[in-house]
Amino acid sequence: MRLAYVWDSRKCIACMACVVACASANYPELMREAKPNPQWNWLAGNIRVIVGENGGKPELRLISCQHCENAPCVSACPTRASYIDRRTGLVRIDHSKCIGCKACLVACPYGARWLNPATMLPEKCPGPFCSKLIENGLNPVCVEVCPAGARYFGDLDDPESPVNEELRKHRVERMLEHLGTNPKWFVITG
Amino acid sequence: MARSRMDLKRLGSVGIPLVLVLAGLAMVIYGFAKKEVELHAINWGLLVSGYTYFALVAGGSILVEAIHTIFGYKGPRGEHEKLVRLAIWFPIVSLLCAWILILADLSRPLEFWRIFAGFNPDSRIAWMALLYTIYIAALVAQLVFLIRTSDEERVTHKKIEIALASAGLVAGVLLYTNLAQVFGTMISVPGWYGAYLALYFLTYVVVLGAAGHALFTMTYAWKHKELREFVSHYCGLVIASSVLMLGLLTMWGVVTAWYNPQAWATYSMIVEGMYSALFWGVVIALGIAATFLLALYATLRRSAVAIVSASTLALIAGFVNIYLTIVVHQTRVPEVLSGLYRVAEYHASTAEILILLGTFIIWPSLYALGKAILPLLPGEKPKKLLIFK
Amino acid sequence: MKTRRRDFIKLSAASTLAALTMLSVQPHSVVGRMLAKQLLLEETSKKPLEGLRFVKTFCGMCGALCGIRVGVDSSGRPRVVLPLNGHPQRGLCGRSATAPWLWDHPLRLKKPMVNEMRGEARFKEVDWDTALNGIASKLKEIVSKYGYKAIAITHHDAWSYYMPLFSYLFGTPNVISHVSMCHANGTVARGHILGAGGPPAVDPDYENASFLVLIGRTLSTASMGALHRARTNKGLQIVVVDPRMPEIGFGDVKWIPIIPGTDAAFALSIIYVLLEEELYNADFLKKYSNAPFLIKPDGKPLTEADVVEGGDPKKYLVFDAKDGKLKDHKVALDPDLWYVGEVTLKDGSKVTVKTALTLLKERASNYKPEVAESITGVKASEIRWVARKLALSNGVVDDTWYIARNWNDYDDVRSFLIINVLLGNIDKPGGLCFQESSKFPSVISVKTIEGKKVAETVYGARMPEELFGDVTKTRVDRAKYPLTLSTFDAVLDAILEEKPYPIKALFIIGTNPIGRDMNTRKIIEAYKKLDLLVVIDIMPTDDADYADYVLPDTIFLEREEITSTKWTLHASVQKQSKVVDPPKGVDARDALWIMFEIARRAFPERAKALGWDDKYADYEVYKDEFLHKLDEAILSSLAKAWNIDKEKLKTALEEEGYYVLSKKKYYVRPYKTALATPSGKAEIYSLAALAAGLDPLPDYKPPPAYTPPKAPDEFYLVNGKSPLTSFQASLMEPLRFVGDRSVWMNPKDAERLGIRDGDMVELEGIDTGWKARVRIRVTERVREGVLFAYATVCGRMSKLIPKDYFAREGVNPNWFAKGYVIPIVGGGASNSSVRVRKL
Repeated sequence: MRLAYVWDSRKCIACMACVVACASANYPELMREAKPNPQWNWLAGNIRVIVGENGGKPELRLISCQHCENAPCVSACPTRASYIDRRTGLVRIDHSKCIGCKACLVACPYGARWLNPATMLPEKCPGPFCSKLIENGLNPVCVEVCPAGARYFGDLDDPESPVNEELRKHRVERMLEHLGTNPKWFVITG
Repeated sequence: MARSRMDLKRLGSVGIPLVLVLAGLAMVIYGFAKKEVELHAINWGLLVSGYTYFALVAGGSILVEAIHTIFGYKGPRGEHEKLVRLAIWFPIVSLLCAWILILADLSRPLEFWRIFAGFNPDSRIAWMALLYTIYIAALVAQLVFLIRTSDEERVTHKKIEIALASAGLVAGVLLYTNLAQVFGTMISVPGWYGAYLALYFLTYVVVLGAAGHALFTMTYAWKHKELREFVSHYCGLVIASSVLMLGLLTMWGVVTAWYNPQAWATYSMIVEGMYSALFWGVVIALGIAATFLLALYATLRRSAVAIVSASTLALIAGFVNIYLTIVVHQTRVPEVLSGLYRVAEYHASTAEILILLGTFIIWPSLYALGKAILPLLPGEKPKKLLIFK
Repeated sequence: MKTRRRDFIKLSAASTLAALTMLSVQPHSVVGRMLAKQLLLEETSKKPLEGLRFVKTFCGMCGALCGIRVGVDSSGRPRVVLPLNGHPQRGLCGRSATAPWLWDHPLRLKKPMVNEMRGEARFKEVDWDTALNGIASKLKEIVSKYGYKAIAITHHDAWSYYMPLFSYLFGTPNVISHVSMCHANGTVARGHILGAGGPPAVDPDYENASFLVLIGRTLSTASMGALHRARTNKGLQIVVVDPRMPEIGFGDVKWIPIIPGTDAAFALSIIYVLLEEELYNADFLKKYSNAPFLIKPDGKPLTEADVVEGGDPKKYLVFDAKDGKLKDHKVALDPDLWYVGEVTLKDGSKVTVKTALTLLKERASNYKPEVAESITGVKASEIRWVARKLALSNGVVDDTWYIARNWNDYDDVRSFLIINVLLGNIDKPGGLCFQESSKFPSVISVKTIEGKKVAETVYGARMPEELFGDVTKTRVDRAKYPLTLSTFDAVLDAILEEKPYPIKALFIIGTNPIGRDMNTRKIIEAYKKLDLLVVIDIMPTDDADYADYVLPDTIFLEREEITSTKWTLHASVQKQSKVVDPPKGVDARDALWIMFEIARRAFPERAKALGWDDKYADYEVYKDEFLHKLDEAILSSLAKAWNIDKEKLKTALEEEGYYVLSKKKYYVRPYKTALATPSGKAEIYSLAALAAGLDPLPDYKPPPAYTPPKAPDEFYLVNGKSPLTSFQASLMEPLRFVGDRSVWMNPKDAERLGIRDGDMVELEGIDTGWKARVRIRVTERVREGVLFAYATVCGRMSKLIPKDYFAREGVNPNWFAKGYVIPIVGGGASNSSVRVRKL
């Protein structure tokens, strides 16, 4: 199994439902702190938002763990706390093995990890709640809540999965492809 | 009467450094407890910079391993030979300080053994742990060997000495290239990425190792004219020749970055932006130019004042440069949309400053404690528990 | 021996010293913290994630009411909001996702409070009896002096179903909502052109449409159900025309920037192209619209009464091309759409008549694309492209929702609707369609029973006519604006000027006039003049500072209610099921209970007449019995109206959260059923407008609602919404990060003024003089010459909100709005013009 995400940039309306739902589902205790995610100056959640203004129509990007097949964070981790789950293909963190060296945080070129201010250990997608959902064959919360139908999740190895259906129909790009991370997070552009 | 005065003196020479070491440790532990995630924080800040600084200083053992043991340079009147145990103790102390800082940077330092339990061979940091273990084992073994053997026994066991020194040298070179590549393999930080840091760190090892060795050894050598002149000349020579290389490699880094817009985003901050005064004033003017001139003077005139000044400048400038190199390049990294940069900030927190200060207190105190309880000075012999005096 | 002892002494001395040092730095906190981190880690990985209980309900974080399910954890705290798949209007947006923070928000109103100094927010917590009795006695005093009509109630969507009930409860006609600052202009337009009502009454068929033009509507703001249908419609192309790029513009949506206040010119230009290039649906216009009606020079339509003595004034005449005769449009076989000719009236005089379509074209000819370009800033080629695409793709122009912008919005919406009529794309798949009525019972209706007039509630209580009080008197806003649905500004006039009569008491239920209405100073002045001001809400509002009493209402997560599903073309009802009880320390009670209890204490006979028993004073009894009675009555009424089994309906609502009573049937109105317009047809020429003294055709008029910007440092200030904006959502913790409290400025303007992204500036209202500081966001998302600020999210002033709370940042656009109300129609205008000063 190689679980992957697809985000349809043509449909997204920047409603922030996924951003907020991720935080409320996965890190509810942190969201009651004064500084839930100081490193990102953001919600204690795994999705951050950027808008690029390059002179034309502003461009929106939602950024969370890309679940790279050649993940720099996995190579950087000395204790194998960050690893690629052989069953699902997702990049996971086993916090019990983590010593908090922060090499993974530095290594991720997408800035998809953040330091949990309570534990001082790294966090990323999928959070604890969504991990449980995925384990049970369900979609993560961000995919579930999207009102615009702009998110998909599924198995790249399954020809019938929603992600493959979308990949067959549309032009996609992957972010920072030139770095060789081989991410499994596809952006539909056309 | 004389005995009790000597006991008091002995108590002082052990007790004071011991108290200072403990005080330093207390500061470290207290600072660790107060660590927090700051707003927009980068990941590796003052503690990792301090750790790198002490680690590089500890690399100066090659001056002993390579030049003394393997290539057999003992000094014109055997001065190097006399100072050899001090010269091995100093990197051990520096390495322990490096470890204190890196453990303090971890979120779960007591779990460090998981590096060995998990051991990811792709991870530079995993190799750091392994190489440090080999390196310090080699250093400690060398020190024990040097303490336990008399001059005659050493001749007999020359092979053991060379073997230990070679192990230390090889481990050291691997260690410092690996340390450089902890940063150099990060594709996420264009200011670091590349093979160039390895050479840079190896050169820093020579400069900072010699500077640290000169400064610390001078606390003993100062009182002995020929030792004092030897240290001034020898360390001055090493520093003068290697600091120019350091200067060249520093500018090499700047030139390479000039051709890489993503690296230039942060390099420009150092070279012409908000850190330019620190860079040109401290790192280049004091750390390269002034250090070179003072070291040259120290070599030619065997001036202790010159070598102490050169060493101090080199160490200060070295710390500043390491800090800039590690911290500044993390403050602007390319975002997923081209042309955009993810901006982070770094302001060393009180907790981190406390940890660093604690470590800087431990550094000379632990060295002094070693001088007080271990037979490191020329002529001293072990009397208790195999290695203590 | 001695040496060893000395060593031992040294060692122990040293260790003691070390231990003392460590103790002095509180190792329990050091060790404790380390231990805590370990524990937290274990906690996180062992948390009972599958322990969430999901409750199906609908959301109340804005007025759309989309279907959601809320996950509650084992401690009874709401944890996550997920959509209710299958619901015809499924959620959810950013607002809804923040609902878990509303429940136990530190600023949530917890207990009844009495204000010891109005305006100073010196609140003291009191028990319910004290508050309710205090309000009741004050009301009695007011009513004895000024009558029941001196009581006014203003509200928004919360509890809106019960507002007619409150009207009878307090005997006042003055239940006036937010509508003038929302959809009033559009609703009057919908009524005039299509005989339809509020925004959901007609809507584009998003899931089947092929080309959708959004002018003054973002779609991404609210009703995720509608948004979902639009965005999952793979074949739908969307164009949004707006001075700023709304959130939907991030996607594959074409954004056409337009100068504020010029939408009518844009739409009339499209109308011109459609008529000029004959891209209209002639068949539809002939049969189902009043386009072929013959209009006399006085602007009135030619009827049988004009040409024949004793003729029927309701028989509108057209020229039948089939036989060249004037005929009643109902019997004409082929009405000529372009007839211009002479007609002899019954008195023998001759007049030239033109078809309504001809007059429309004459009007639209003033806005040929090149002319429209100079007014709107939109290229002529673009206007032509939109017009042609609408025709060729069988497109639809959205009928809008929030449209209280520039004063001329009534004409804007009329022209949008006329475009749809010209295309003939009415009540067809993919077109502008009428919503199926769910036949939801009114909460109260006037009936004649046994010869007597009574007001009967849905649950069977009857109030005799003698107790009606002032209910039938003219409402203060209708006195000034005859066509209005609600104009709150008239309430302010009645308070300040006491015309047409004084208003002395005001209840603000689930709404915030300072946040939503123009002319902030006027509102505050009015509050100060009132004898009684009561605020019933869930979170602090700026208005609460001026209230005499602030009472905590329940939130949607704590309520049970059955309503119609708003934003679907099907006839559907949905159930709000209780997710949680109020948290400890929050003694919140339904506004329904509050109002009845006040009435019972002030005017017991009124409350009794409407079925309120004394036992309902006990809040638990009210919940168990009264609400139950209400629900059962609604279910019975629906079951009867739809001829379905009541228990089946009840079970479906409890288990699924919704029930679709009837799927959308196309080709009904105006094809099979006449429209509620004077002619029964779609009216491109509005007879109702004519009767009300308004121009029967839309026109572009430059807005007098604000002084137009002229100097290089003067700008339009337009406002709008996003999927994160609502009064309660804007105070939620996530909004600290995802909320946008900046004012947008175009990069060209920013460069000209030397302003960089993130700079603080001072805005000064050109008309109101109000000054405020705000951060500028330099972005391409707003047109040159225009500034944009989100409405509802920022510029909070209430003293109940801490000074450093993020919601205080930014500006409330209403501070700068002059307060101009459209005559007759009664809609407000929230846009304004401001001067920018760099700080």
